[in-house]
Amino acid sequence: MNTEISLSLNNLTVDYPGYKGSGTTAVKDVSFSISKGKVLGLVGESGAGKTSIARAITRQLVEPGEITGGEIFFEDKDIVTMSQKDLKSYLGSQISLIVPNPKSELDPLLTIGRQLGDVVRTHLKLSKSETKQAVLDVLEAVQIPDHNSRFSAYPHELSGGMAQRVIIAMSLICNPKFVISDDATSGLDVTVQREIMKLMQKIIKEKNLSVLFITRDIGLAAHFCDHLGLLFRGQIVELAPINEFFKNPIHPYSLALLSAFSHSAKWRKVYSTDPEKWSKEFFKDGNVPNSLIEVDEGHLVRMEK
Amino acid sequence: MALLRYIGRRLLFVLPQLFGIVAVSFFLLKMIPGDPALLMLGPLASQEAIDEIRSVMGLDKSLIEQFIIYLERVLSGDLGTSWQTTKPVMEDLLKRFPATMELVTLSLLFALIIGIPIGILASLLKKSIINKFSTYYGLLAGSLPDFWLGLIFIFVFYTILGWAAAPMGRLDLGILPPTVVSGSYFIDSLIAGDWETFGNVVAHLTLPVLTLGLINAGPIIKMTQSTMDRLLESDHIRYARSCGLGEFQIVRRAFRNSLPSVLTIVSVLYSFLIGGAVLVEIVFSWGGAGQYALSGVLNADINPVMGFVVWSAILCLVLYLIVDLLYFAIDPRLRD
Repeated sequence: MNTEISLSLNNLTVDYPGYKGSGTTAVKDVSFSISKGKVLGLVGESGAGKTSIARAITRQLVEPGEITGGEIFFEDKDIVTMSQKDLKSYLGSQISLIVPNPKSELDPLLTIGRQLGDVVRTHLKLSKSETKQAVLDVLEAVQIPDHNSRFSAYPHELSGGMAQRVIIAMSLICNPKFVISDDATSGLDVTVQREIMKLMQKIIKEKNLSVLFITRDIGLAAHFCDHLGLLFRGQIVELAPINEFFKNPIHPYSLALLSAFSHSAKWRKVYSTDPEKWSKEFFKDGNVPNSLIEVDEGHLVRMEK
Repeated sequence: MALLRYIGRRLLFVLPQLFGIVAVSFFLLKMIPGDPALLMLGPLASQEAIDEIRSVMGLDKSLIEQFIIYLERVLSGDLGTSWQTTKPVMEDLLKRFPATMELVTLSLLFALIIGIPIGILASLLKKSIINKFSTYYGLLAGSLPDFWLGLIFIFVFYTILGWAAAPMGRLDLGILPPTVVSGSYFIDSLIAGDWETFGNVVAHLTLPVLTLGLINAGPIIKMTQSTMDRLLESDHIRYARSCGLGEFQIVRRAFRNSLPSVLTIVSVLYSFLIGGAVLVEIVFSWGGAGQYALSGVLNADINPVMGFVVWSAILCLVLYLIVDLLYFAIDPRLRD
């Protein structure tokens, strides 16, 4: 079992120290592991610490954020203590990141062919013509129409959906083992979102990728993930296999979220048992107990013993 | 093709712009008190003589008439005569503008050569000594007057150490200027392949270029540093980092993105220095255009001043056109 794990977090803690006085702990004691070829969905509201986790895994936290505790194991290497040089050789080639707002994540002054080519040449040391071929291949793989001419397009000439495909191409071009998708579809409208998700699903299956799928949309996660973790104020409040999570949600926050996403009165009734009872004290001081309890196989819930 | 159309459209606007500049500066200059006729003839001249020279110079006509006469002359390429040098202004400026342009261009090149690397390094190495250096450099360069630095340089490197050439113009007295091609001694002596003259030209250029360059490197360092700071934190650079690109690539991308800002500050400095280098020109007896215009202002000699205004306006408009074309070359978003 253990040999199949692609990436695991052990008690990861990320702090943003304040300039004076107390700072913010954005991620608190987060642990999970992702098996090879599986997709873990991480769902949470803005400020729950989703992006901090993604950035911590790539060690690209925004100043003054820092990892103050825990380990991040990729295969058997700890990313937290790895040297910059080793880290650079992993990023983009073994571990890659799909980011939201693709248009601001691409360099506005360089063609997309050049930007993709830079990543390939950095990691794979290919010749000029091999690089170009690799770029054209990956552009075709992410279903960019007319990829020969898009090769020399600039980011501002692309639509949001196309730019997102380019970012996906960028993350796939070196055949990584592990992909982090950080809210990858948030800036797109629903029809484009669906196309992108279908594309990602296809690629994940074909390449047997392990994926950390971060999103705000629990509905999207439901269709896409094998496991689901719910993040609240920097902590995991519930972690379960996808079917188990929707069949038997336990934590009040899970219930609240599910009822908020339920589009019919019937489903709202199923999920919101008695919101009045817990919501006030729970949301007032965010008093989350320290213990994650395994209620069923692989189903962890944060609650009092 | 679209580019040519753009250049054409820009050049079309040059004429009204020039007209505006000429009109405003003509009337402003006429508002300065002082009678050229009186200055030319001296305090003992008779009233008839003054009246006569006033009518010869057209000073007895109305302002509007004078302006129209001036415009007609400028359009035929005649910028009038300076009563101080008794030569046509056009002839004087053709000698003096190359001197100023040569000084300003080389100074800014020097400022770029030291400013850009220091700015980049200061931005990359936040806690290093070079970051502190750049902070104090900006402060110092911003607060020191350039002519004062020039005087100190002359005192140290000419008077005490005797290393530098005498601050008496662009060439030693015994050396003949090279054949005029561009008007810049630096370029012309290279074209002529005359190494002795070239060496002398460089010796005379060294101190003023050092003076202007060191002072103007200040804003270039600041601009490079602050833009690089912003870019190194930007989304696409962080993304490039998370793709595992090497540090050299990262810096190159960030620098490329900061080029437009650096270009902007250089173009502002350039157009300012065409007239603004005048104090340094005086300190080194450079004989540049700024010096010429200044003595015109001080002696109610309006033609050299107006000639200077027209010329520097044309140079600035051309400069800004070139800068805009460079923006196009750098940033594909502007090309559409």
